[in-house]
Amino acid sequence: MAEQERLSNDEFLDRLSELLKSASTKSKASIYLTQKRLSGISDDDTKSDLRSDSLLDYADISPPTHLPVLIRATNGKSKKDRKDKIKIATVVQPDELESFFGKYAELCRTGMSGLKKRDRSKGKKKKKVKA
Amino acid sequence: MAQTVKPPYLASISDWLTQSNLLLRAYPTTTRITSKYTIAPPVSKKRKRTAETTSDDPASTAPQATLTIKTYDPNSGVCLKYRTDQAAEVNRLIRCLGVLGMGMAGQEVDVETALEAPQAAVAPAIEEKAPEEGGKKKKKKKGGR
Repeated sequence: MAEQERLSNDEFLDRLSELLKSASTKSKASIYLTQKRLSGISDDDTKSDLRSDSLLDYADISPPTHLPVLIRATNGKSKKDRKDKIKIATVVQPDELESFFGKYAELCRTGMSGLKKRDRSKGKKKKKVKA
Repeated sequence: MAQTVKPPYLASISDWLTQSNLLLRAYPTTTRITSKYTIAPPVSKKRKRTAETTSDDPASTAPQATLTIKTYDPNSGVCLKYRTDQAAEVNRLIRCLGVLGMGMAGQEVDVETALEAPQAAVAPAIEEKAPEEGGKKKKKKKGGR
């Protein structure tokens, strides 16, 4: 499988915002967001190593340098709707994670507008009890 | 040993976060986190059987949206899920994703603080649609002299 084109972080967020917006206009839609470490090991390598413990060495658990994180987003269209499939991906460098997730959170909160809003009248009763 | 399939849904965000962090630490290269935001037609009401009937919320005609987060590691086959339909939880969930993302990157993270961090810290970052009404444009100045 050809390697997927990777967008810049900002471009990814713009496209994701569009994706969420288009989903909210429909009565039935799904958006999938995936994140995982970008380790340089391709998926094929991972599969072939599944039953060996080679992935469990200590360099893996505590890498000498910080590794980037791969973020993917798709609208989940497959099979007969595959032609409508939108698939985007970006790589976030370790030092940019914090700022990226800040923007990401903001975007998701505005984009995922279909969820239930907090009921203010009830919500006030739920005050945090400090132990 | 009877083979029972434990439902992967966890009861709370903090459970999910703690378990996911452990999984991520054990298999940092293969573990992935997927968030699924789904909008479903309002027909199925099976899921909501609680005392929701008392409040006549207009959402009953609107599509039901849910957000499901899943941590999965193909190496061990462990799958951890958490599902919500509350908009108020999105913020917390994404912050968890951020913290776990840093864990993925190999940075030292303290997941326990992620849920304790003040919610307000992110709130001012909302981009408000600037109301370009033209006419009245009064802004209160705090402590303006």
